Amino acid sequence: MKVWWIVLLGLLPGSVAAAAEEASDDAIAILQKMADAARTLNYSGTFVFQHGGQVETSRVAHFVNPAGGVLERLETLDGPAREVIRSNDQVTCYLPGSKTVLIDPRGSRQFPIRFEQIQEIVQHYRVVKGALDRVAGFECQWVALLPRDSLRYARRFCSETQSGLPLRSRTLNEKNETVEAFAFSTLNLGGSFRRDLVQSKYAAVSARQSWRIDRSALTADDSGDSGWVVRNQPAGFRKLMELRRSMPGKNGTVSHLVFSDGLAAISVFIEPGAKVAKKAALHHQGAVHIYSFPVAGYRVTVLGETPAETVVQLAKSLEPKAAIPTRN
Amino acid sequence: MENISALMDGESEGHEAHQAMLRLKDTELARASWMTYHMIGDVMRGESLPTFDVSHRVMAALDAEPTILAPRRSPRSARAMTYALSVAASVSAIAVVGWMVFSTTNVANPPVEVAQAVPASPAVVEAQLVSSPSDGRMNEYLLAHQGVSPSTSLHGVAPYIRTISIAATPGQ
Repeated sequence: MKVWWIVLLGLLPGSVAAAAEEASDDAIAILQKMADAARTLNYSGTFVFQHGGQVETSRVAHFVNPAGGVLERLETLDGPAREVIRSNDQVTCYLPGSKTVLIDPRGSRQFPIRFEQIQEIVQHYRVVKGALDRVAGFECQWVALLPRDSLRYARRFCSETQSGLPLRSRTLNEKNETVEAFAFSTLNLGGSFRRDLVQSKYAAVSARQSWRIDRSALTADDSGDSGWVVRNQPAGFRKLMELRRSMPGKNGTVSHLVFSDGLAAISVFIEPGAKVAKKAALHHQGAVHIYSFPVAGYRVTVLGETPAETVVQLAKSLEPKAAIPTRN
Repeated sequence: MENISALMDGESEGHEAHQAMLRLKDTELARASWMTYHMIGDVMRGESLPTFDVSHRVMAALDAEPTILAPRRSPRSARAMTYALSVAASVSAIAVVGWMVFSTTNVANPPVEVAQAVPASPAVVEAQLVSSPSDGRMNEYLLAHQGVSPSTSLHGVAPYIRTISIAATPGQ
C-alpha cells in the first residue's frame, strides 16, 4: 500500500507533494524562532487583517529595548480612525469616533511562547513544515499547526526566513475555512527606535477635550483565587492564571480565569450582575467565540480563539468552589 | 469505480484488490478517481489540505464578482461531479473537492459554483444556540483576553484590531 502512495505522490503537482509531512523537528525549530522573533525584533509596516468578512489595513510599529521593554503602536488606515498603544503591560485604545479611551493598565501580561509551551503545543497540534513563499518582499517559510482534535483551530504561519517573524498567518476552522487572516503588505525589519512611529496621535487631543476614559483600576485583588473552579476543562487546556480584577466599563471586581493549550487561550470572566441576561448567548468576532450565560446571580462570559464547542464545554463545567463567593 | 472505492475503504481483498490496483496503475481515470475519493475523505473528516486555500480564493472571487452568474460547466467537469456525488454525502464537501480537483487538472471551473457552496455558516453548538457576530458589548472582555493569550504574542499588537474593530461600529 505504501508503494502506491509514493507512486501517487509522484503524480501529484509539486504543490501537493510538498504538503506531505516532513519530519517535524525542523518545523518545531521554526515555530520556536517565530515566537522569539515576535518578542525580540524591531519592525514597522502595514498589515491586512481579515476577520468575520471584514478586511482592514493597519499600520504597526513594534520596538523593544534590551531590558525587555516593549512599545507598540497600531493605527487603522481604513474606516474610522482608531489607535492602540501598548507600552509594556499597559494597553490604551483611542476611539476618536466616540471620543473614548479604553485603558487596561495590566491588559497585556504577555504569555510568550517559550520552550515549555512548544512542548505543550506539539501534544495538541501536528507541526508541519510547508513550502517557501514570499510576503511583503521577504522570503518566508510556511509552517502549519494542525490540531489533533476538534477542540482547536488550525493555524498556518509564514515565517520570515532570516529573522523568523511571522509575515502571514491564517486561522482555519474544521471546514478548512479561514476565520482570520493576517498579512504584512509592507515591512521594515530591524532598525533602531523611532519615537515618531509609536507616538500617539490622540493622547494630547483626548486629554484636551476630556474624552471619556474607561480605565480598569490597578487595585484588583490579585490573590489568585477567583472562588470558581472548572471541573471538566476541554482536553489539553490547563489553567494559566486566576485572579480578581477590575475592568474598563465594569463596576466591582471581576474574576478572571485563563486556560490555554500552549497556543490558544480561553478566558472566563465572572461578575456579580445587576443586569444578568436571562438566556445564554453565543457570539463570535473573527476566530474568537464568546459565550455568556447567567449562574446564580452572576454573569459568566467565556471567550477564546477556539471553536464554539470548546468555549461552551469549558463554560458548562464552571462551578463555584463552595458556596457562592461573597460579592465585593 | 466502485472497485476503487472499495479498495480505499479496505473492503476488497485478494484478487479483487489486485485487479483494482492494476487498474490504478494503468489508467488515468482510475488514478484521478483514487485522488478524488481521498480528497473527499479528507475534507469530510475535516482534515486540512495545506496547499489549497479555498476560502481565500472564494473571498477574492466574491470581492471581484458581487453578482452571481449562472455557472458554465464543461461536460468533463459534469462527469467528474457525478462520480463525486456517488461517494459523498455533503454537498459543500463535493463543491470544495470539485474545485480542488479541477484546479489541479486545469479544467475550467466557474468560481461562482464554489462561492455558493461555501457559505459563511455560523457555528452551531446546540440546536437552538447559533453564534451571531459580536456587537461590541463584549469589547472589554476581548481587550482583557487579548493580552493573556499566547497566540497574541506571535503578532504583537495586531490582534487588538478585533477589539477596536467592533468598538468603531456599534449597532452593526
